[in-house]
Formats: sequence, C-alpha cells, structure tokens
Amino acid sequence: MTPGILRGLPASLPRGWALAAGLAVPVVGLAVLAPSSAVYGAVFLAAAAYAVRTSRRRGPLAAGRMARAVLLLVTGVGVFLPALVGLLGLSSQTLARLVSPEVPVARGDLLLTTLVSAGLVLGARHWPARLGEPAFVALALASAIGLKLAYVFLVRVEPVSDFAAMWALTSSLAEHGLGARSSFTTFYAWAHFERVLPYLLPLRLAFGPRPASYLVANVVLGALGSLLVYRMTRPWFGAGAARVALVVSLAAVETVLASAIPTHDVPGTFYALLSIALFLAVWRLHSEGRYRAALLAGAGFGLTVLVLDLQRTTGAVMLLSSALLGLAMALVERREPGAPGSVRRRRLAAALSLVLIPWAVFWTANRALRGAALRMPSALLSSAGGLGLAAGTDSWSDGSYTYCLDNYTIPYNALAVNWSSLTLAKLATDTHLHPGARVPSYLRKSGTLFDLGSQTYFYLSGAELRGLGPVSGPRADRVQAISRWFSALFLGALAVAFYRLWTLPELPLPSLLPLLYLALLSAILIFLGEVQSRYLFPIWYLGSIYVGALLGGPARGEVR
Amino acid sequence: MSDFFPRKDKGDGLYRSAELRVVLAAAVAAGALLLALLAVAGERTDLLLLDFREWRPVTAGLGEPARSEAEEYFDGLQGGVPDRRPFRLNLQLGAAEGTSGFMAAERELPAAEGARYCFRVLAATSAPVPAGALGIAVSVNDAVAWSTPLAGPVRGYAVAVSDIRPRRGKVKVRLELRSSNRQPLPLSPAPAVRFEYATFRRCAG
Repeated sequence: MTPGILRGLPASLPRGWALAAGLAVPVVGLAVLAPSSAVYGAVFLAAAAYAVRTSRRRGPLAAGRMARAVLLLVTGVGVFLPALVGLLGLSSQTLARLVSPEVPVARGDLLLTTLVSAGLVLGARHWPARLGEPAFVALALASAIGLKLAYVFLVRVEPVSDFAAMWALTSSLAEHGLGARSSFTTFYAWAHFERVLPYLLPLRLAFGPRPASYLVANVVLGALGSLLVYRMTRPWFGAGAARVALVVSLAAVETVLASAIPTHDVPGTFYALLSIALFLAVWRLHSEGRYRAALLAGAGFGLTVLVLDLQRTTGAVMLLSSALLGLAMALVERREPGAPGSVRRRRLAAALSLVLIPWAVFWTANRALRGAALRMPSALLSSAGGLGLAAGTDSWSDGSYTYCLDNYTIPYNALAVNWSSLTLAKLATDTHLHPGARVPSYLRKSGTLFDLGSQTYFYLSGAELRGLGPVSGPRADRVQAISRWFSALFLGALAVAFYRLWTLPELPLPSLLPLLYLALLSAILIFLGEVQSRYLFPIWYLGSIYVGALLGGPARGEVR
Repeated sequence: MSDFFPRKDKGDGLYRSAELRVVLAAAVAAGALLLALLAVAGERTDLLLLDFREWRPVTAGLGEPARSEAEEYFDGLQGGVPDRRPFRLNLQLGAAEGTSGFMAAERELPAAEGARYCFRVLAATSAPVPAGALGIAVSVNDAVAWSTPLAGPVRGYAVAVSDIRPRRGKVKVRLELRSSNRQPLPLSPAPAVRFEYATFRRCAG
C-alpha cells in the first residue's frame, strides 16, 4: 500500500536525484543553523556533485592515477603554488634592485651566477660516459668538500643566536654530563638539548672543543646528503639527472654558507634524506618479497625518523608523508610474478612495513626517551606547541619570525593558558567574520616562506674574511644578491619540473616522497606555523632531485 | 631538452585525467564542508571571541570637544590593519593624561537572565613597564571585578572573571588602563596594552 503523500510519484527516482537530495538536505540544514555556512555549503554541493558526476561518466577510475592525483594535489598546495609566489617575489625584487643605484646589485654578478649555474648543469649533464659515473661523483664531492673546507677556514664565523646557545650547551653537557638537564625549565633549553643530542654532542665528545669539530662534520655531512640525493635520483630519472641533482645541491649558495656554523640545518636535512633512503629500502625489500627484512627495515626507518625529530622536529611530517605514500603504494599493489602471497597479503605486508611498524617503533621509542627524561616534558611541549599554533594562525600576519616573537613569544611565553582552545576560537571567529581571509593569508605566508636566499644575511652575520675584515656592508649585499638570484633560478626550474610531473604519463610513486615531505612541511608551516625561509633548508637537496630530472634527464632518443 | 620535458605526449599526463578532476573536486568539497562546520560551530555556540569593533571608549564626564578628541584618539590606537580590529583592543595613555591618566573601553554584552557567565581576556604590554607604574582593571556591571599593577618585565597577563550575573539581560564589561599616582611613568610614550582573545561564555558546571 503506497502512503498517501507519495502517491503520484514514480516508483523509483533516478539515482542522481536521490544523491543530490541526500547531499542537499544536510547542507540546507547547516545553512538554517548558520547563514554564514550557506556559501560554503553551496561550494560543497557543487564540488561534490561534480566529483560524483565525473566519476560516474568516465568509467572505472584507476587506483594508481587516483593515488598520484592525491599526492600531486598535496604537493601542489604545499610546494608548487608557494614556489610560484616566492619566484615572482624574488625575481621582481632582484630585478628591481638592478635599476636602483642605491642597492649594490651588479648585472655582472647576476650574469656570472647564471653562467656558472648553467655551466655546472651542462657539465654534469654531458659528462662523458667513458669516464664513468664513479669518477664524476668522486670529482664533484672532492671538489665541493675542498672548496667548502677552504670557505669555512678562510671565513671565520662566530656562532650566533640559537647556534651559539647550542654549542655552549654542548660544551656544558660534555664537561658536566647529562644531569644538567634537570635545571631546564624553558622550551628553548629543552629544544636545544634535543637538537644537540644526535649531532653536536657526539662530535664534541669525539673531537673536542675546537670549532673544527663541527665545521668539518658540517661540510662532510652536507656532501653525504648530496650523495644520497644522487643515489635516489638515478633509478628514478637516470644518471644525467642524478649528476645534475648532485651538483645543484652541492653548489647552492646557502648549502655552502650553512657549512660554517653549528647549525641544525645541515644535520636536520641529512637525517631527513637518510629517512627517505630507508623508506625506499623498505619498499625495495617488500617488492622483492622479503617481508621480514622489510619489517626490520621499517623499524629502522621509524628510529631514524625519531632522530630526525630530535634534530629538526619534523619527524611527524616525515611519518605523515611516508604514511600517505605507503598507503598509496599498498593500494596499487599488484601480484608480481614469482613473488609469494596473494595481492591482499602483499597489501597488508606493505601497510605493515611502510606505515604501521614505523609508527609503532617511533611512538614506543619516543615514549621511552620521554620516560628517561631525554625529551621535552609533554606539558611543556603542549604549551609551547599551543602558543606556536596561536602565533601561526593569525590570518592578517605575514607569519614572520619578528611577528611571532613580538606578538606572542615575548609577551606570552611564560603564560599558562590553553592556547589550543583559544586558537580554535580565533579560527572560528575569523572564518565567521572574514570568510575569505585564509586565501590572502596563504599567499602572503607563501611569499615569506619561499623568499629563498633571504637567510644569507644570517649566515654571514659575524663572518670575517681572514685578513680582509668582516663580510658586511656592500660585500655581504653582493653575496646576498648572488644568493637570491640563484634562488630565483632554482625556484623557476623547480616550478617547471613540478608542472612536468603533472603531465608525465607514468611516474614511479616512490619518487614523490621527497616532494611530499617538502610539501607537507611547507603546507603545515603556511597554514599553522611561523614561516622562516630557513625552515625550508631541505629544499636545496630535495628540490635538486626534480631540478635534476628536468635539466639532466637523457635527451629524446637517448638510452638511459 | 630532456625526455622529462617532451612536447608530443602532452595529452597523456595526469592533468587531463578524470581521476585528477574527481580528486580536485573532492578536495574542494571537503574544504568547504570543514569551513561550513566551523561557521556553524561559531554561530551556534559561544565559541566565538568577542568582537572589539563594538567596544567604545569611556568618555563619561567629558564635554563635547574632549569627548570627540578622546574617541578620535581611541580609534587611532586600534591600528591600520582592519582585520585585526575585531580581535584586538589597544589602550594607551596619551600625553594629556599625565601620571594620573586613565583610559577605558566598555561594551554591554547580551546575556541570558539567571545564567552565570565567565569573562576571560589576555592582556599584553608593548614594552616592559616599571613595577607599579601602570595597572589594568576589569569592571563588571560598574564594579571592579579584577585589577592588577603591571609588574616589571612580565609582559603578558591572563584575566578571568567568573560568576557574572546579568542585569536585565545584559552585562556591562569595562577594560581599563590607569597609571599610578605614587610612581610616575618614566616612559614616553607610555606602553600600550593590547587586549585580545576575549571570551564571554556561560561558566562550566
């Protein structure tokens, strides 16, 4: 018996109509509850309807392409668009200075930078095959290490800022033992302690209090990072690409300058690269059907990420990006000829070794370290994290270090309030009052974060060229101009390379991990954090992989 | 040019695929839904922060020219970035106020009769203030509910007033900055005090 209210309607409605009604009813409900949600609701309806319509009309969707689309979308928001914003800002600033007589930027310097960069790329790309790859790698590494050692011994740089505090703390720990941490009460004391544990302290204990203890290690570790870049790039994009990536990462102006101070930039990037290399090893072992070895390597990956987290506090970003990629890989897993186990079992094994085991090992080891009072107490971490979140989410700010310091760190560092709850209230209020404010905020903060080369002045502060005086004034301006122009060239190549990733018919999924890590790091900073371009230091290594792929891959018709 | 950048296979890339369109549309839909839910949470709960654009300076007792001047001075203090205005209220003693200066802003907040309310706000000084030279106070319904002298190098304060009972469906809240008569303020200009993250909610429990 048909109820009276439905009499006259067809027995079955088209599924499209039913779906539209199902989507529309909750949205209308939301709009009634809060009129300001109506615009968002309309956008939701239109986008969801388009997604459903497209997925129904174009036949079955390929899991591999779907996974790649998700990954590239993340990298687009995190790297591509911000890099374009940064590139536009950098190019216009550097070029504008050329016509201003007050700023000492010489056309000759920029031309020389362009020519040297082009020469290095062309030299790497066209390295004669008869000389062999090992010869090129050895030559590049030896030259870079030699030149960087010459730089750090010719240009004396006193440790400044955080780095001075870290080196002083290292000396104190080396002389008085780890017991000194019982007096730590502030976020920065604990943060410095965590940073020196996996790098500066072992160096200080092994080589003593001389600056050479960290100077030589910084140079060598930077070069090893470039070697890892080479090793990763080669199977994905070919030997030419790997050579270009090696050279670009070694020659980037800021990787040269960062060699000279006890920074956490170089070791932090090295541990990030090591983590990526281990993740790739896990995937390789899994692909070969060596599941137990893959699980063990997965545990090693989790531990390395913990070291990265101590050194540069980006362990969670690495875990998130690797999990995203690991799940994508598990999704597209197929039966390999000769490999044991069903597809479902292989997918489960991939999820275990690529995602679950690393997370479990990281979480357990992290908890153990905290239990042994070798990590910052949870309460301090949560209050500092909450304050950082509040500082990084003002839609009207540029997210710069100065803004966060003046508006939050200095006045509120010692204040015990629930910052997370206040931040949520601020975000809700801002969305309510200024619905579009997050878009200009995203663009503004992208410009600040991708203002690459702007940290050059920091690496030069307190620097002295032995026998010739301080590297300041016009001398420092000149280095800064060269660095910024190099950055503009680098970002331009990276943006084109990224465009190419979207248009390639096929792409090895693992090759997206460096970009994904960089994108998540950048997106988290832009949406939720303070944006110092120094936080993007890994871009000189990770970005070089894709710059190398663009500029150094084999020419058409050439065999890899 | 390398085969990483060929021209002939332009149409084969991911960028024209149905998968990418579906993912892009789904991402937009998810973002819009998140913002819609945030807007609903904001409007239907007392989660929102107080909008300081609705606050006005206290000018009672001043004649017309002085009142206009005080209001103009107050508006000038709120900064040039319009988006900040809802979130922040700046108070700063002007040169005319001297060592016994006083500046305040207030607002009548709508409230349900019979309920108990809690008011919270953060205050930060623009520079360290000599101990005892400057003080801030919060008055509720014309009675001082909380006050403290700004003490030395401490720059940030959390102010909480609880158990506020509305009168005739309203609560009048006043934020006040005053200099001490005992200790003249040696700084010129006087440090500004910024009030922000202000909430007015029913007390829990």
